[in-house]
Amino acid sequence: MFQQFALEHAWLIPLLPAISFVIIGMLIRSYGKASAALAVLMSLISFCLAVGVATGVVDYGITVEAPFVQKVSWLHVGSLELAMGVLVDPLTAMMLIVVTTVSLLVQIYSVGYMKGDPGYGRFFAYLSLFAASMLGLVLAVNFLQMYVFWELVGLCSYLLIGFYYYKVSAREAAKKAFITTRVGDFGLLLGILLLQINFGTLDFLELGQIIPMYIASAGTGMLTFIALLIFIGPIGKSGQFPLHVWLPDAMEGPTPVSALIHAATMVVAGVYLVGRAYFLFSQLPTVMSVIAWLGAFTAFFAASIAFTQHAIKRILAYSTVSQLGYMMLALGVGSLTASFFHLMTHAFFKALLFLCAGAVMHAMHDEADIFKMRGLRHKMPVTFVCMTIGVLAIAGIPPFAGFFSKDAILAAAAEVSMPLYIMATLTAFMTAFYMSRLLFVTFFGMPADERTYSHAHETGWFMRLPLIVLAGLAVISGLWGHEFGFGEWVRFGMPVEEGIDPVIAISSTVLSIIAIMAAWHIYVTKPYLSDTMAEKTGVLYKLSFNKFYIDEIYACLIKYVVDGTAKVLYWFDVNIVDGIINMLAAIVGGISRRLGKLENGQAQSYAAVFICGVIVLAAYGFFYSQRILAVLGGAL
Amino acid sequence: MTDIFYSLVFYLIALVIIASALGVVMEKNLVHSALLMTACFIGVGMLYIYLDAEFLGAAQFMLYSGGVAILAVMAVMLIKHGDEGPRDGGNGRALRAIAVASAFALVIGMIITALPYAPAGYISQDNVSELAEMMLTEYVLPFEIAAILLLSALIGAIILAKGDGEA
Amino acid sequence: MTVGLTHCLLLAAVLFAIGLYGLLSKKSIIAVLMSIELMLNAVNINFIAFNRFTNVSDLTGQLMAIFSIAVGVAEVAVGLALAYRMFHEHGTVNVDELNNMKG
Repeated sequence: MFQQFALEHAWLIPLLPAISFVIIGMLIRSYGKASAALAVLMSLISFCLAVGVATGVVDYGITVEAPFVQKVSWLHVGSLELAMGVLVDPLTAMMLIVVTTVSLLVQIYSVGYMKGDPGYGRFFAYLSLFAASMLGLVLAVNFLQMYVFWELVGLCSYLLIGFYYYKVSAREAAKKAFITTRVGDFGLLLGILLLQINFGTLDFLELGQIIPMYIASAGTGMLTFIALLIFIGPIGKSGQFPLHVWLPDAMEGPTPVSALIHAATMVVAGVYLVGRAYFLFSQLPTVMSVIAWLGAFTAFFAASIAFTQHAIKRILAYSTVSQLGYMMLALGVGSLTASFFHLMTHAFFKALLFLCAGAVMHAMHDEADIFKMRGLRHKMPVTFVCMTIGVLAIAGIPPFAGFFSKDAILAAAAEVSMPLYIMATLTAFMTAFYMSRLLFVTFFGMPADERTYSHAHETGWFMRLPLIVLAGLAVISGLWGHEFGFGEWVRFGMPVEEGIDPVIAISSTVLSIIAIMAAWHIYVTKPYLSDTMAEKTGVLYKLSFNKFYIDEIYACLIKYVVDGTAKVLYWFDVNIVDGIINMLAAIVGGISRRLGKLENGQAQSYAAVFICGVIVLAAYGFFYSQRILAVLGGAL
Repeated sequence: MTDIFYSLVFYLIALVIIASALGVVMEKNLVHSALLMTACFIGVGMLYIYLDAEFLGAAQFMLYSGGVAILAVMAVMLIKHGDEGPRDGGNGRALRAIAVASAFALVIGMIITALPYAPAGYISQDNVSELAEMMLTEYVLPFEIAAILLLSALIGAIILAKGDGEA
Repeated sequence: MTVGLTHCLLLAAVLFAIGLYGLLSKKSIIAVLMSIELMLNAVNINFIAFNRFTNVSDLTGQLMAIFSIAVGVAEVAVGLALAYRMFHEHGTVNVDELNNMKG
């Protein structure tokens, strides 16, 4: 009964947080506790509905081939018809569960984390708006609806990164995030428009039927172009190289925001979009290899930066970029299942890691540098355990969640291309290393600063509860997905048989363990080793520490290209445009100076001009208008 | 024979009018100008009589040749002129004035000669009584307005000539 | 050739042109006023000539001439008073020196 209700009222899932946003934003923003309670309550109901939808999908046998769709007409302009509605299939159901779970947990966490902040109510309003937008995006039935919510989550991201708007760095980061993702969104918009022009519809299901026929008759040229344009959107939103620069800076926002938006949900919107439009991408081998290689490169590249960063959240941010690259890689090699499996497990363990980082920073008075923390395991045992689970999960140690999903991706990559597999494995090794570095430096060793260390304390229950729940999910979600038959539901085309390739699994596990041991050796047993290594690797270390100077390159590009163009245009404006204007003004001025001499105040001159006018009129009447003469003559 | 005589009279009158008018604008001495203007007005009055408008001719003699001419002479006398006496040597833009005036005459002349014109005519039997009847019946309102206009012109002229300080 | 409308109109046009010349070329305001009187007379000649030589049945043209004369006389009276006043205010009757309208 409840499943039936949940399915038919799936539109309530995004609507409830939206209502909560309106109520908090308009009415009770200044009552912090009421705002938080309302937001959490609405999230809870959304979560329950999402669970209902998910179980309904399983019980009623709704598959990707036979989704549950509800549509209402939204816009009707000429021949253009746009619908809005909900599309429920296993993909959607999985995303709903992930988004509502993380959103609910993060909101509960925020109750404790944001305590005493002057913008308490505002924060929950934004979180609600974000949840509504993200859920709407997930449920979209066509590209346009998705685009609308796509932009809305971008807006929420902007608002939340800039939440501490009185900090210059937060403002800058918010602008950077918004503008960078806008670059991608523009490509996406162009792609959507081209789709509408070529096919006359944006509906996912209709397009899914038209496109294979279109390819059979007209080839892939145009579609490749469209798909590449659409893919620019995910490049921006999911922080793929070269538009990844905004994501690390986005860590200026409050930590729960980083966990929710910049780790678990919004940034995977790009992955979701590619998965949703897989009927398009899977037909185009060129685009697929672009996606795969870009994903693999991003994964490797971001991991190499994460190696040397000091700020805890930045490490996690680069790790997120890297893991998103993983998901893209999986999509590119044709395994939607592996990608979405990793999406789900990553959402849980990365949210866990961020929330742990938040707890640590909370305890350390917002200290972000991991080398100034150290030895916290005695002070914060719960956080320590949760963090350890998160690190083991992301490192891919069985039986934690990351092991299964990462293994699925590696297996899929190995089937398609050896270089991609090697790159992915290498990235996995690096991931294990830098994550354990983060863990060991933060929680082991001797305290760096006695005073802050003595003040450090375990967090309150509001913050501890989500940690424990997420830790539980990080442990079981992989195994559960594996046993439950994730690939039978979330897939594209044929059901995927879940199996673990022993060679791949063992080799990656062994590599991860080696990496963790190496990190232990370098950062705990012989702490001085890290500095020596930094000196020895010299250039490489510097490159990595400075994020390969990507930001500087962009700054340079802007300086020389944009400023140069601006200078040229400025010259043009000053000399050509203004020149024309000034010339016109000079001409008019000259004419008026000459005409002004006619205005000499002599009544006789005026009379002469007046008489001349009369003469001209009379002559005109005489030579050109015989009618006037006829009228005059008729009177005589 | 009567026709030729009739025409000759017209041309004579025209000669008087044009010659004295030219004298008015050419003469440098303002007093001479005023006297020549009187001659011109007399010529015009004669033309009125020639055109069977006896009452207007009489009015012309009295008003223009009498009143206006005397007014003009008095004005010339009242205003103190420089060493060379009441003279007007022109403002140095005579060429332009000639050009404008002759262009005007040319265009108007062309129009007049080109006018399709069928000879006809109306000659009143009793010029004065007919005018009087029209003026006191159909045109009584313009007549009254003209009276008011003349009265206000009279008062205005007095006030202007008197000046503010001497009131 | 019989004297008709055309002759009178041409005479009036010439008289008007002479007055125009005086209006544009004279320096003293009194001379200018006299020129204007010549032009007014030319107009009156037109009224009477049209009344005399065209197909009409009453003396409206002459009547108009009478009104015109009345207005002309009033104008002369005011104009000469102005000239006198001007001479008192500015010490001159030269029209060129009265250029307060200069733009």
